[in-house]
Amino acid sequence: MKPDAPILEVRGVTKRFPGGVVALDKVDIEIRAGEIHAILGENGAGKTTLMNILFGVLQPDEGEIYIHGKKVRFRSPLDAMNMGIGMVHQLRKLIPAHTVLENIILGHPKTGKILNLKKAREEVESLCKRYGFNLDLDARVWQLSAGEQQVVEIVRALYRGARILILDEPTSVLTPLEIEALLKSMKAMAKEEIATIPFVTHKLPEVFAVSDRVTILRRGKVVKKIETREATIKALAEYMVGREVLFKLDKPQVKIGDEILRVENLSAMSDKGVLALKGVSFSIREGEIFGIAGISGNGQQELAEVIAGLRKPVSGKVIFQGRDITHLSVLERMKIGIGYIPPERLGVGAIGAFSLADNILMSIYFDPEFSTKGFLNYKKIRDYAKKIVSEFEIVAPSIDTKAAHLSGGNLQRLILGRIIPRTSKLLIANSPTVGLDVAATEAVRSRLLACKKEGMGILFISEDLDEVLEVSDKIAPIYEGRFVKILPAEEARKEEVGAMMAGAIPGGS
Amino acid sequence: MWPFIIRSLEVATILLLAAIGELLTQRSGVLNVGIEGLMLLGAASGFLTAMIWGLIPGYLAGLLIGALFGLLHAILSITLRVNQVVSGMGVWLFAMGFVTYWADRYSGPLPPWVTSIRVYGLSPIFFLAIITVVVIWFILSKTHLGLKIRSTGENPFAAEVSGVKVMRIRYICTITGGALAGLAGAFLSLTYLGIWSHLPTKGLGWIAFALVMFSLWRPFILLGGALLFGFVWQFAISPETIYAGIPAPLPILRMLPFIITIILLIIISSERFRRKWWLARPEALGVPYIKE
Repeated sequence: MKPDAPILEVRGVTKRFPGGVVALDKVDIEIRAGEIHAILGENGAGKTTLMNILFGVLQPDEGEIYIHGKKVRFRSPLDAMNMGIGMVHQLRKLIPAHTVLENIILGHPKTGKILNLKKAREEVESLCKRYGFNLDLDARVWQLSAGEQQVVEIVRALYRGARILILDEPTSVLTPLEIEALLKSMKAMAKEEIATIPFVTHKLPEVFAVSDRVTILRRGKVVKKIETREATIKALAEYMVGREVLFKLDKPQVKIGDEILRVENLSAMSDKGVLALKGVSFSIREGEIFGIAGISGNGQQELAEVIAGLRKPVSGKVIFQGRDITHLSVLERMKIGIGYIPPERLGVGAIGAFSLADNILMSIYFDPEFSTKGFLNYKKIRDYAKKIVSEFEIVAPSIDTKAAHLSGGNLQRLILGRIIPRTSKLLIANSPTVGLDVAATEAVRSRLLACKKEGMGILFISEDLDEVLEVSDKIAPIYEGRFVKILPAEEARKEEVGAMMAGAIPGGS
Repeated sequence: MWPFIIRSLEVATILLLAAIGELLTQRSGVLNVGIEGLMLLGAASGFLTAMIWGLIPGYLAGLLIGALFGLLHAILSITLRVNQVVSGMGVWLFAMGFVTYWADRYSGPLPPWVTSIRVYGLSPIFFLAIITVVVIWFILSKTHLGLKIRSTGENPFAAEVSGVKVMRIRYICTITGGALAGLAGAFLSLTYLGIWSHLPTKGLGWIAFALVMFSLWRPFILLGGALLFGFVWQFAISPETIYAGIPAPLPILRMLPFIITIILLIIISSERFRRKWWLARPEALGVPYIKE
């Protein structure tokens, strides 16, 4: 075999879905052994379909896949695994209640009939050592951070003998330190001829830092194949979106006003009954965006829910415009001008089985303008819903469309449309851009900045450090339920905040 | 005293067999609320078979019919994805009607030549039940098959991408659980009662079902719970065997087990227990699996 011969080759693969959507259109990709080959594409570019075909979840309508020059057909993920393809899912395919080790050995033919945990442990440990992974094999998966869970999936794939590793958005949930560790491990794998294929939508800079080559998908077609060292980030983004992209938003200059929210020494339990928020204090002023940077699971969800009134604190106070609202109900909080945008869009943010109008109704039904003596005034409600749909640029056939049928970006616009017009003082935005593509992300961020311009205080929570740095006036990295520090935006340096997100104490080594 | 203990252990055996089967079924993610029905069917077919062919064929008939109706529940709830509660309830209602029609005309004792074998007064089935608990504990916690079963109950999608055959595992567990419930029923009618009377299970299946939930799906806690409820149940039937001569009115003594039950319920509805319960509960319990 020639040294540069592709280990995996996709030739002319086409996939159509019922309804005439062509998800992939004659896609050609070659992956060489030991290379890091990024595949870039927006939501809807066919990324997920391609991944599913490579992992045997879907079968292509046309075209072939070759491994080591031999034509293969995957009927199931098991076939793909047996041919040496490993998959690291973005929505983790792990069992939260089981230990790391149990997750890794599950279903492996080598595991045998009676579990030999000692032998398996030795093998997995040596694998971790070889590629520089750090894992507590006895921890339960639900106790791990998103980044650690990703490592579990990688190790599981390697334990099963993967030579080609597909990674779905590998850097989107990692702290900068974790990203560095992952890149190191990817290089270690490359040395042993294991090819890694990160699929990327949002995080371009990291792609840039590691990959040898990039293939860019747009609307199901390969639009560009390029050696990374010959490309620029801006050029990659433009190939991906098909137009010029604004990377920097103009932060409006707003006069910072009086204090709106003060939180004093707030602590709260997580759903699992662990103390997740440990004595947090801060304040937000009018026209100020207070950004919390941290990997999810460090208490930010609990904090947002306590302020929104969805969760009872164990101790501490929430003071809104000088008034103690710690024990106020959610509805009363809504009425005094507090709005909450939750990270779970379907389920908490909107009800999938309800129409757009009914979803909007949920945040206005108590307003005397729309209901009298318990009877709803549907004419006014529908007019209001239509107004919101056009104002927030929600793309939907009508206001009677079910919310579940909206795309992620449109659903988030609907939620913003529900919440923002009813919010006058304080907006809590928890991961408002997670999972959205470039265009929808842009829309959400500029909406938040518009709120700031109107003088609202905003509590902004995100796992994406770049985003927090970009929009916030103050930045608080959160780690294990505590703010490591609260910094003004001008003083926040990315490396430093990134280290704090991973628990580094400022001033320490 | 000794006869009372033996009777109690026999009740515990019934509960244990039915509950350990249900535990296995639930660990694989399938909820079978119809075990009361499976026990009725097992009791009736066991009784009628024993009248003709004797004790051992009676037990086997109970086992077999339990497995068959376990299979029915599996087809309905796993393959056809009928709501699992509805399917289980359906089996229970069918069993109540069918068993009444089929077996009530033979109401009365077993023929005298059908007698249970006993070791120190205890039926071998009692030991079999204990062994079954140990075996199921061993399978669940020490073997690859057990890991696959637990994974299927927690997250069938994750299990499937690891190469676990989710459907097959769920079928095996549901059928085994059904067979054990059928055997429990046969033991009830053949050894514990020895006679047939209208709907003899009297809610024992529901207690077994509740025991699985209280045990946090752990076989040895289940064993303890079954023994405790065996005594409580027997005590409710004949408190005088223990309390003979104690100057307290019989109705009040008869209330004791229920008072104990209420106290137990209060303890386990505490927040601490509830949290533990949610952590222990198989996450995919009762959720039909649809392949992506």
